[in-house]
Order: sequence, then C-alpha cells, then structure tokens
Amino acid sequence: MTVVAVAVAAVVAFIASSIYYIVVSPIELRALGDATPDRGKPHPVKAAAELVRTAVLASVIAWLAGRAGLLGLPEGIGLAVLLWLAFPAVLLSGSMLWDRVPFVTAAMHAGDWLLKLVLVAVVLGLFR
Amino acid sequence: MTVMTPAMSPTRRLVPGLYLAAAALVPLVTASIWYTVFVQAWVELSGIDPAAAAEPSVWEMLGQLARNTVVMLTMAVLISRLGVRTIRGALAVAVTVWFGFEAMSILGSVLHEGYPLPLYLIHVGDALQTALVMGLFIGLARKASAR
Repeated sequence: MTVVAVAVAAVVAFIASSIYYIVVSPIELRALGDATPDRGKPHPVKAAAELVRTAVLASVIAWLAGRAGLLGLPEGIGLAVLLWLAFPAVLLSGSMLWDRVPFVTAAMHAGDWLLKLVLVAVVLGLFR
Repeated sequence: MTVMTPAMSPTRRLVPGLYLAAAALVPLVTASIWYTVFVQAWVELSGIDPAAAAEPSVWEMLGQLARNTVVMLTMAVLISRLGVRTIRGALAVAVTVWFGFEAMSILGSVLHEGYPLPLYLIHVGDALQTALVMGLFIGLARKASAR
C-alpha cells in the first residue's frame, strides 16, 4: 500500500508542479525580463528525472510521517508545512542571501515546493 | 532542607539546551571552513562578488544563524517525534532529511536551470556537513535529556 501511495503521490505532485510552472513562469519573466533563468524546453529525460526526484521526496515524507505517527490528515499537512519551512524555504532564502538569486525566482520555487509537499502529504493521508 | 539529586540539578537541565544551541551555532563555523576551502570555485561558478564572499556582513551571519535555528528546531522535533535517543539514530535522521529535501531541492536547479554541477556539489556538501553536525548535537541533547 505504501508503495502505491508513494507512486500516486509522486505522479500527482509532478503533474501539479508542471501546471504550476506553466502558470507562474510568465510572472517571473515579466519581473526579471532578460535575467530570467533559461530553463530550455521540456525534455522526456528531464521529466523522468523530475518524476524520480518527486518520488524520492514522497518516499522520505512517507517514511518520516509513518514512523512519527503523522500520516493522517490534518497532521500530515502540518508535517509538510514544517518540512517546507525548514528545508526548501531555508535553502531558497540561502540562495537569495549568498548566491544573489532574485526574490521572484526563489519565491516561485518555494511555492512549488509547498504545493508538492502538501499534495504528497494529502495523498499519503488519503491512502492511510 | 531540599536535597538536590543529580536529576534535579539545574546545571544538568541546561546541558540539552546547550547542545541544541551548539547544533545551531557550530555549523556557522564548519560552513565558514567549508566555503573557505571551496571559495574560489564558489565565486567563479556563482558569479558573486569575491569581496562579499570573503567578508560576510553581520546581518548575513545573523540571517544564517536564524536559518540554522529553524533547521535545528525542525530536526529536533522530528528526532523527538521519531523516538530517537541515540547519536547514531539522530545522524540517520539528519542524513535522511538532507537527502530527501536538501539534496533533492537543489537538484532541481541542476536539472532545469543549468545550475553547474560542481556548484551543486559545493552547496549540497555544505548542507550534508551541516546536517551531520546538527544531528550529532541533537543526538547528544537527546542522550543528555534521557539520563
């Protein structure tokens, strides 16, 4: 059951993340103009790697939530928000602080991570 | 007259808190060493101002301490919720969250934004050493509080 839940969570988060970037990328382009990072065109290999990355993320959340007794809803969402704050949000604030990454880009990625983490927690909670 | 047993001693009660403070503070030192070792590659690959990299401002260091504190507190909560009471267990949790969140998070920039792989390795290596240092001190705090 856990493997199926992780797989479904990874696919749902991957699709939502792809839609998120389609919607949000023009905002970044408008704000940064020529300074917008060139992400190239979508490629099957990149998509597959992204799916694997999301599956790793879902597996780690499933492991942590399962062992900590936080797989249910809404406590799983609480865990997801805590993990988002401590890891992607902190890392992205570091990229602004030390690598001078523009706020718009960091905020866009932070939004993607929050979306993914919460969706993974919700799917894992529904499969519980 | 009150007899202070070792378990009631205020000094002993302070020890876990001191370990937790060290878990946030010591990575400032180890990260400084880390980036001093890799400063040339870091500056070249990220295109940041070499002077800023060599001498971070007080505000930047305070910002880094605040970031470390958020990560440390989250790791301490996780380690506590998982019932881990050993240093080895705390280190295992630290490596797991590093791999699942930090290594995976920065990997997205390599995949989609042409972020240089050596720069990724520098940052992810720093994140790993930070996670291990925090795991070590949180593990020591858990051991101290369990006594």
